[in-house]
Amino acid sequence: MEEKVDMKKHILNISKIVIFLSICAFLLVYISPIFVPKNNSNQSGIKYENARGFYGENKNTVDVLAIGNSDLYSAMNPLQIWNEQGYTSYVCAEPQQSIFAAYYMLKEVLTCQKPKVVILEVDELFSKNEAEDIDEAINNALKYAFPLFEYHSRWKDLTVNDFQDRDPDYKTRMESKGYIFHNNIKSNPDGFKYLAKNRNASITQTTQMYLKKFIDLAHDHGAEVMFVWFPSATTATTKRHESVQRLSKSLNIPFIDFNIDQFDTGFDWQTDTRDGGNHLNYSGASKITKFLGQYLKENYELTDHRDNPKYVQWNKDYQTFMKKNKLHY
Amino acid sequence: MAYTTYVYLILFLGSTFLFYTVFPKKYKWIVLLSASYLYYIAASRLWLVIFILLTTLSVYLSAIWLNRINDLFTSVKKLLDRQQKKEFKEKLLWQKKMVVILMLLINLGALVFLKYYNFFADVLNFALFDFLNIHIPMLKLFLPLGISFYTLQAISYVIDVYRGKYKADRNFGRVALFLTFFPTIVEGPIARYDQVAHQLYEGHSFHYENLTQGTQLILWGMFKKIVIADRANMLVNFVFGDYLKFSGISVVFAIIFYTIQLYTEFSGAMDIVRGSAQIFSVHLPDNFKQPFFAKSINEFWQRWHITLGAWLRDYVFYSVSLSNPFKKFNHFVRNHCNEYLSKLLPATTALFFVWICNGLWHGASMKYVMYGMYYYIIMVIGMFMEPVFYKVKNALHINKETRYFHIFQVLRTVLIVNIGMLIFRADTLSSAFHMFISCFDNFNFDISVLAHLGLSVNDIMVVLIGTIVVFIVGLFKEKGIEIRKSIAKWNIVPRWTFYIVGLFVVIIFGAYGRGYDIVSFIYAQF
Amino acid sequence: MEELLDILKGLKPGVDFENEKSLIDDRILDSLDVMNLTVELNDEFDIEITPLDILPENFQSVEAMYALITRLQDEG
Repeated sequence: MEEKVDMKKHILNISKIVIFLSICAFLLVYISPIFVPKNNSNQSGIKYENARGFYGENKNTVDVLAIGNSDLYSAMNPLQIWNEQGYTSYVCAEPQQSIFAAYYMLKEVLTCQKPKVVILEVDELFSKNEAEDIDEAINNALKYAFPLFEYHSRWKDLTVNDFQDRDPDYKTRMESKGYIFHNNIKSNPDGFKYLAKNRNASITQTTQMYLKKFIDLAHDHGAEVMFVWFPSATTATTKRHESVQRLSKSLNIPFIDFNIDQFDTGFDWQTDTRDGGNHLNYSGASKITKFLGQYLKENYELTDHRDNPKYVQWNKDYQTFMKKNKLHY
Repeated sequence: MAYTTYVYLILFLGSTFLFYTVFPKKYKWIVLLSASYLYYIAASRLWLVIFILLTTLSVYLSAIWLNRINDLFTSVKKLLDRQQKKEFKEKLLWQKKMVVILMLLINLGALVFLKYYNFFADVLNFALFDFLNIHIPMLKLFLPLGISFYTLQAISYVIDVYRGKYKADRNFGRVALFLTFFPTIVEGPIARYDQVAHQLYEGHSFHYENLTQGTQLILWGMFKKIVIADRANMLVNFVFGDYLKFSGISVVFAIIFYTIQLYTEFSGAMDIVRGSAQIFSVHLPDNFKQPFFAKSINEFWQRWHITLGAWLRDYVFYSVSLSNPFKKFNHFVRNHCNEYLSKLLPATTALFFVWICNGLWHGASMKYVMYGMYYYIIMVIGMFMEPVFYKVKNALHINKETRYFHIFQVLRTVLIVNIGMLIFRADTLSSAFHMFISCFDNFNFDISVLAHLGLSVNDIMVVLIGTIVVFIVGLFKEKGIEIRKSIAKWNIVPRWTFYIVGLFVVIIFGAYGRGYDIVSFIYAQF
Repeated sequence: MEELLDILKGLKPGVDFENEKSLIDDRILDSLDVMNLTVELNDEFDIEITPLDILPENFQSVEAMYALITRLQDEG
């Protein structure tokens, strides 16, 4: 008899917990739209607007999508590829991005673009440890499910409009297509010596799991995946290269590592970095982009849109970008 | 795996609780022990587990050894006459002392070597280099997670067995769990064996009230840590990081913010820790009791980091003051000095050891030694001046029991504590001194400068409102009202509304995510 | 008992030791007082108070202290 009462009490209590959590989840869903920025610009509350300009491109016009961290936005220039090869690309790169953020970023891009090739900058595959990776994974999943976790700090900037108009309108276009221009030089005198350094070269299980999810997601949307590692004196090592190489073989994904081979690009650590080896400058980006653009053209079916009137904006953006940064073209 | 992370709160704590609930009562402790070791490895490095295992083993064995000696005495006691008994007792006491010394050599040895080697080497190099021309090399040492906390727990257990407070535990699992229990391993509270070991081991069935009350305590801790402390941290870093640029009220404000930060952070962490334990129906000792309501420095330290103060009292203060050399010293003072000195000299001498340990425990640097000495000197001055204060109070006809006098005492304590916090936070002693002086430089009440200290006015308001909330909760507690328990009696609608509002306040106003730094727990470094 | 009261009054004048029943909990005696007290009690009654005996409940009132002293005298 007592056991029955006990059981009843347990069921009551557990259902109370379930109801309570459901109310919380409902409120999270209900409140989140208030906090979501209503435009995809920095001003509206997007922290890294450069990575979010893909919304502003015409639907399904981005041929190549690149996802990664700051190494990527310093090294790959979509407008140069446009000018040299004629197909479109976009760089969705944020500082300190993780593979978990990359996964949800790709999900977001696929809502409005249909890239043929997805490039993943593999620098972000090297994380601290399993526990922190799981934390990041939960963090990103929560932010995706309930954007309040991402944009909660907007409480300072909320206006009446945020409460009335809950649907965001993402149309802002980024001229630079995600590339961030720097042309100062601070050379890396030690050159490629960094490759011999001893850094943790293991890739955690959680990262591998999300990498697979990332690849599957791209494949499901008809995109091919490619790994690229741009020169980075602060993170890359030969051991790490080997780790990615092994993964790329087992997953059957092509991999280009500019740390190991510079492919006659003429890349030089004396002139091509802006901060002593961490990030490339414009000179370095030009050399690497030139090779990458050509490589993609040769290995994937990418159409030249330069004469297509629908893409006239790209020509304009190229000119504005070159003029703005006082570059010859 | 900090206690504020998702991986801890949602995944780790959640799954440990589920396993704990479904396991049979007899084996529930195994869930806690496995979880504790998993936590240790995930939050630290695999090979550093060696140190905590070594401590566990040494403590377990030495306690049993002490027990044997005790048992031997009781079994032969009856066969001996008074004189023999005394001699035998002396002999065994000597043996017991050897066991304790061996245990201390292993455990304190590991702690002192790993934590203080470089500090002492540095001091010795500085002092001896000119004379002897030798140089002690510095070492790159890893500090095992929680070593400053679990070592103290380990020592208290053996010394209690030595003193005969309780018997040694033959159950290795229980001793291991007592030392590694995952909520307490990073920053305490420094629990005693007789307070928690049995609670941890016995296995509790699902208890709804403990689950909800524990979760609420965690939420309250999260409020203190990520809404107040992590936000205050930005202003504190801004000013302390570049202190030469600031003077006057900016520095005063930064010091106050640091005091707020350290209190809300450390006590918030303790709420998360105690809440985590309560979910498993384990009740940990309190580490804080509204310290800023203290009327004296002495009282402050009975309310701030209580378990450390109690540890130092029981195992340093009483060990020193009841030791034989100290007794001799005490007699000497009594025979050679007047009453005033013979009362104060022994006490202040014993206190010296307490405060030097307190300072050094916080960190291996001169700054922390001075932090301990700061409080020591204030206490000693207070003790020596007591007759003077007494006379002054009488002469001025100050009634010690009025409300105004109490408020004066509380404010005086808060002021002293804030200066202590300055020493604690500043990079070096000289920067602390510089900042202290600069408080009086260009001082005026123009609070508009506060908007330029790395924190927006909005954020400053959140810190201040949050602090007021913490203060009001403290005020209720001082009056003996536990807010959590009062709310538990409310009707379901207002009650749930309250909890949900609390949760969303933490989610919305938490200083986390983009634009905020992740701030690791300050006490986790000790 | 009288002896004990004299010692206490010498240590902390002005406290109503006869009637105060929670000297430790009410923070009338702190750890320093307890230390000074044990030293005096050890001498005066020829006992040895160990750290183990220093529990709040042994010092809350005169009666408790007296009980402690008697127990230690018997043991010695």
